[in-house]
Amino acid sequence: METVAMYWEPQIKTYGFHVVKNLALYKYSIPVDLSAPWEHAIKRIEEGQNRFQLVCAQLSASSDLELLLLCEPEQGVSLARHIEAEIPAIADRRQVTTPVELLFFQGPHFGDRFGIADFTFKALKEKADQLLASVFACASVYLILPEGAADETKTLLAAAFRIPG
Amino acid sequence: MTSIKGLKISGELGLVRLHAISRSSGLLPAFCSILAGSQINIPFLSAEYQAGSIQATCCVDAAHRDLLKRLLSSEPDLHKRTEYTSGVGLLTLYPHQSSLKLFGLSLRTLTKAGLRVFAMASSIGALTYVLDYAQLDNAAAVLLARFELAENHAPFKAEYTVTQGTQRRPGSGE
Repeated sequence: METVAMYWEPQIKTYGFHVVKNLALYKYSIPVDLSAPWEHAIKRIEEGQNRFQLVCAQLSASSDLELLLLCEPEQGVSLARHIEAEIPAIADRRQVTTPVELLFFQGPHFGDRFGIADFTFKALKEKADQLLASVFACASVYLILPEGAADETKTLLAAAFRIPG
Repeated sequence: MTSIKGLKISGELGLVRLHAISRSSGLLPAFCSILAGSQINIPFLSAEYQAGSIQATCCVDAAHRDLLKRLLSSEPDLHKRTEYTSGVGLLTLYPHQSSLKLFGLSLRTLTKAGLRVFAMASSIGALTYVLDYAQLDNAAAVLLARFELAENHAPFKAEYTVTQGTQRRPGSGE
């Protein structure tokens, strides 16, 4: 495939940092083949008006999809109600962390360039140990943090990345 | 029928799973540093940290497989905590508009078609699934049967690439 552009920046550029506070992080283990109750539960979720800040999932060693869903707390309550209506037993197994904070940013061709995750973690220094989750997908970076950590994290990142005036 | 504006399919990638019961050793930053040092891009990375453990899933270009294995073999701490799976790819559809409709419908459609989802994540406007590379075209087909695609959509497969350079362009002033 033809390479038509190469990026080089003395300081990696981003379009700015966004912080959202007072969010709820829900975690569910979903059978990878989506059992019938889970299929019904997900159908109910998509038919509702639920909105999210971030959704991500990974296949676990036990071959379940470990789903993380970050949303406003009231959205999460509605979401959990939909799921528990189909799978009552899940109420004892779901994990909810609240309040949590989200910091996200994007930059030019982040998904195509090496070193973006490395640069981000190096900028965070020991604060990387505070992360609850991190996602680098397409040109976006999402960092989920405990309550009270986003502002300081933003300061660290703002000192490392360049935000064009 | 739910509308989408676009769908993209990546080239062949390798999947790296990193799992450690302790995050204090900075395994994921160390892993990312090693890849950056060898100019290996990570087009997808999702990590969860909980109760002192880390579970991460990331993708790298399939062409880097041997180099990555060499790099990891010289880092015993990382090597024993990583697992490499060949033959995955990314399927990205957009926009999600922060609604769970696209997520729910796409996940149900993919799993109902028997397609294995290794990982997925949202970004600002898109949902990205990590799937079997050999099944990407099939995955696109089953999704396109459930979604109405905008007429003026971009090509599904990239026609060119943008890469990270390692030195400034002469005369760029930066």
